[in-house]
Amino acid sequence: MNLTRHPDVRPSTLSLFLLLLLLGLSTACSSDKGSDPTSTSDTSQQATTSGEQSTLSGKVVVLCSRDEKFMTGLWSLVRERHPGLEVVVSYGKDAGFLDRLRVERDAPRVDLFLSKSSAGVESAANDGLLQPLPTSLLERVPERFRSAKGRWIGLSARARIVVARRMLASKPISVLDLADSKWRGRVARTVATNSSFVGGITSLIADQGETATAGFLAGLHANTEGTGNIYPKHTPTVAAVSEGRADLALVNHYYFYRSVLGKEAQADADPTEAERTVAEAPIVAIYPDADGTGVAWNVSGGGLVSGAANLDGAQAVLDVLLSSEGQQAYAWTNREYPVVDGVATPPGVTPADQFKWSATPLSKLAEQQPKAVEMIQALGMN
Amino acid sequence: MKRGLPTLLSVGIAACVLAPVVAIGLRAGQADPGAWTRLLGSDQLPVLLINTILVALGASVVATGCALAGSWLVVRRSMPGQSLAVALLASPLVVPPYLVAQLWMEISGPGKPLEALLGGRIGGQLLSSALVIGLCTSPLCFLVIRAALARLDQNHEDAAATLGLSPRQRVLRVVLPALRPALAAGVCLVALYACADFGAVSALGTRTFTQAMFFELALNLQDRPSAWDASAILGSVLLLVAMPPYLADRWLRRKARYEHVRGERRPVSPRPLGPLGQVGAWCFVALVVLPTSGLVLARSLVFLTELEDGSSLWLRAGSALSTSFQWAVAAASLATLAALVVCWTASRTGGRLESSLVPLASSGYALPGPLVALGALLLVTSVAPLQALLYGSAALLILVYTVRFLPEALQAVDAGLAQAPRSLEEVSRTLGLSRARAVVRVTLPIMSSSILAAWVFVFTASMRELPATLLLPRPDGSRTLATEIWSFAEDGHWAQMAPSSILLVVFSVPAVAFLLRQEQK
Repeated sequence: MNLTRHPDVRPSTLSLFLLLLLLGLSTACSSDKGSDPTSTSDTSQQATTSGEQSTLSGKVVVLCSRDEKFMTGLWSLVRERHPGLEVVVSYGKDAGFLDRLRVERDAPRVDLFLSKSSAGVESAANDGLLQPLPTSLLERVPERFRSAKGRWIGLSARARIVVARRMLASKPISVLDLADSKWRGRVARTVATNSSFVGGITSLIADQGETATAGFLAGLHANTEGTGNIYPKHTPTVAAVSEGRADLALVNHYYFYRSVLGKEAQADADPTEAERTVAEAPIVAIYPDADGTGVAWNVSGGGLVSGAANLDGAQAVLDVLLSSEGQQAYAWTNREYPVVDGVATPPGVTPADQFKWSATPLSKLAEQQPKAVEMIQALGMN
Repeated sequence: MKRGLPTLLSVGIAACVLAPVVAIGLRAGQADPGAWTRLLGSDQLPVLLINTILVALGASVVATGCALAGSWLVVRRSMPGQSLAVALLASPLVVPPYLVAQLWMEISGPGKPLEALLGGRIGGQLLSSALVIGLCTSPLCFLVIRAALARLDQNHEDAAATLGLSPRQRVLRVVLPALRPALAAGVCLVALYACADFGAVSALGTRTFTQAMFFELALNLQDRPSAWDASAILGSVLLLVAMPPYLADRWLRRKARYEHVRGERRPVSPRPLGPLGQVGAWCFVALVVLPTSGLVLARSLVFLTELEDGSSLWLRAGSALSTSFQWAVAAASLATLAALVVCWTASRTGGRLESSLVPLASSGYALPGPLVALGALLLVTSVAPLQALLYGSAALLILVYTVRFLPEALQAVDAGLAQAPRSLEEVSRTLGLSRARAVVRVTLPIMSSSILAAWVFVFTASMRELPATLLLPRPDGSRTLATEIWSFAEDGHWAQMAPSSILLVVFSVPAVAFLLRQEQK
């Protein structure tokens, strides 16, 4: 063999490689836990001038399963009120966060856990991962919106509603009606793996019992499977109804308003104008089961992690969240219902006192969640 | 023969590759029998099995079909702009399938360009998953089949012609049979990929094993240990599903080693395409490019004009890029180094143990990425010192990327080492070079392009890695390009993912161009 057969052998290639190798190994060693300061967009570098002087300082480590998009307004408010606090947020899913909190149980690195669903915080509380909240925070939200054992508080509420075409002659009055075979091929839903779908089924088990829910699921399965009306997400599910491909859909209330009023919630929107738009839309929101068990609902919530290093900082964040400005910044961006009394419903959204809420306590929901998963899987639902 | 540090290192590397699988197997074995019966006895298992197989088969058909037609076009026909056609046919490699799938959802969604045509019906359908995965992986098949087609001998076809075979018969009875190994290799590659895919199928709402594994892990919040059991069980079943294409692939590779070209070979000269043929050819290229790389590029550019808070998004994407880049560089370097150690030890010691470590360390190839991550997580959380050291650190992600993409690095380095036999080193030593200098001045230069190929491959794959990155705990507040794209898309904020998508594409282009050039040599 002759070496000249390899004319592409250049020392530069080799040295380039060796350089990269070195670079790589050095980053492998140095890029340890949280070493990327630029990645935490929510640090308090641009503290604004604020009237009150907050003396809080240090890092608050937050795990948050709520969409990042709906958190940015809140974080600027926190920055304004507590310029000394450095909030480091990791966004992700409840399951991964619960695993992490469990793993770090003996040496917690997280201060605050914010979940998009009560199931997240309730599961953490049941696992002994959250510490009791001070009454000064707890008592700012009504009892039904918080943990029975005082381990977490709700931060915003959402209703599980039925979206229907306005033209429809006879509209369903109960969620259970969607399983009626007369709607075969006319019901749109998300894939059954969607966490809100599972949440809805969980509520149904708690409200209507297991047998009724099993019957409902089987009927819904028959009405939707193979009809082309199963969508990966809620937005196209609502769109299927507004465009007439389906008559009905089961979604969280804000997806309806997002479809009718636009994706971005405007805090300064004119309420009368918004109401008119809702009244003229081709689809209507039905808050179901008014005569029966009431509308199924859930909350997003937050709790202090047991052994949190910066307890004061974490409490301060919750305190901002429960202020009326904080509630607006947090709940309104997604057109959810604020949980603190006296804070208005977002413009255009059916006010909370105009429908019947289910009386099932939230702690019951978390209990039923595994059952819901099991029932969905037993049917092999897509 | 003396066994020293290199052997020990190789054994360690192979152990690192196998450890996640063992962890999954142990966990699944210890799981409550009730969990097994619930998962395997319910109606969902056949659904998952059929869906996974159908997506894998569908994607293979799409990918090999495109690759075959594309290779024919660029090898057997000639037309102006042919090298552009080659680049375009390879271009889907720069876009990860999950990004393509998300954009398919987006353009068929409410108020979007293709809504009237597709009406959101893309989701939940096996066909769309098979199409996305098939089109995105078609360049891999294209490169393999093109090379095989270019190696064919004109003499064979001439002989067939003198025996009275029509051109069509010659294709069916001479050319296609000769391409069978390449086609089969392509099918295995795509099938393995489809079994492992998490992003595209979940974006499109298709239920496959990988997706179900994530689902099991994510849903049961109340009882985390049983959620882990359930995904370990599904994971071990997925391992069995991925076995046939993996074994078939190994078998093909072994066979390929014995296939030597003997004697004079006359390459087939391409026939020029007429105007109508050229139109058809470009239409075909468009069919592959428009729904994949073309879509990503065009849509992202449109998104950029729609962005309101562009500068802050670019900042975020920039910080994600920096994290992705660091982790990918680290993983690529580590994987290349590990591949060098394993291959070097095998070829220089010649021991049976050492040689058997190469295929063993390559077996990560059959492991779908999410499985590696799941196994690593199980392992790390069950060994206290490992947990203290690795849990929630970038090092864990880098290690998982390394294990996941090591097979590809091994393949490249192994091929490079085959070109640099030991005798060459020995010759240089007789000429007075010390052993170390012989390696540095003779062996490494010969291998440098294979080493670089290994590095580039692992780098590109790590830059876009999604499922493991999602599954593993990351350093607080850190983001990667893949997680940025995924979280924006999951929340339906399509336009916001444009900066990250563009950066990911930009950083994949040089790598793909490099691989393409490498292939052409």
